[in-house]
Amino acid sequence: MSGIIGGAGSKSGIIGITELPENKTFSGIASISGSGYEEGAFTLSPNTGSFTTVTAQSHYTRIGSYCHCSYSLNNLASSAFATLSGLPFTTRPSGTGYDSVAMSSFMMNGVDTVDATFEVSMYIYNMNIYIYQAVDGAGWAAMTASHMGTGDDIQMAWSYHCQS
Amino acid sequence: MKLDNITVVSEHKHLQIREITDSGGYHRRVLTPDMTLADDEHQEIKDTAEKEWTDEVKSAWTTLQELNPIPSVDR
Repeated sequence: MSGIIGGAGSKSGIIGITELPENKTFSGIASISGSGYEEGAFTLSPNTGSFTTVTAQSHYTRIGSYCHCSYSLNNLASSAFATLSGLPFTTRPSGTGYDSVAMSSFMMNGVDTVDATFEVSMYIYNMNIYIYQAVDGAGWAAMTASHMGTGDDIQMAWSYHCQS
Repeated sequence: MKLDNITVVSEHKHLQIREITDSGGYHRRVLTPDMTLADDEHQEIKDTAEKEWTDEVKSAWTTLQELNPIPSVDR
């Protein structure tokens, strides 16, 4: 390989799964060495209600214990959901010890938020995904099915630590 | 999808499942001890769950969740 990784070789350009197979050790790249790289898809399930998954936007990329995900929930049903399950990997730690706000971003269409909400964040707990609203001058508020209506959409991306 | 790999992780014996989609890509999911497996689940997954998800493991996972409910402030 040449360019981004290693010395001179026959391959260059974007690093893909064919260049970084699982559990392959690359000298000089400590962050990847021995821990693997993987890409794929996963399927989220709501605790209630339904939505349409855009398959092409259901994607994870894992490097070592770091997993980045993107997902598109389209055409939410009225009273769609409060929690989502279906993470591609077990969190690290696997139980309530993993109590963390995931680094996340959301783009929402039609979803109602509490007045004075200034931030929406993902919270992963007990292997479930929650969406929380930070409200100016008030306590945080979990987004529930009552905030969603028929035809609403949520596109989201997040990262979390998973079991190796 | 074709079953590709089962990995048992953590003291709670989560089953990390990797499958191969029709297009050749990976699809991932995780099964936890509180789950009831579908009738049409892969037999190898059923066998692994039967072996790993002892009553003690199931009880520990259930207790963990019951003792630590989501810190929700619903408005």
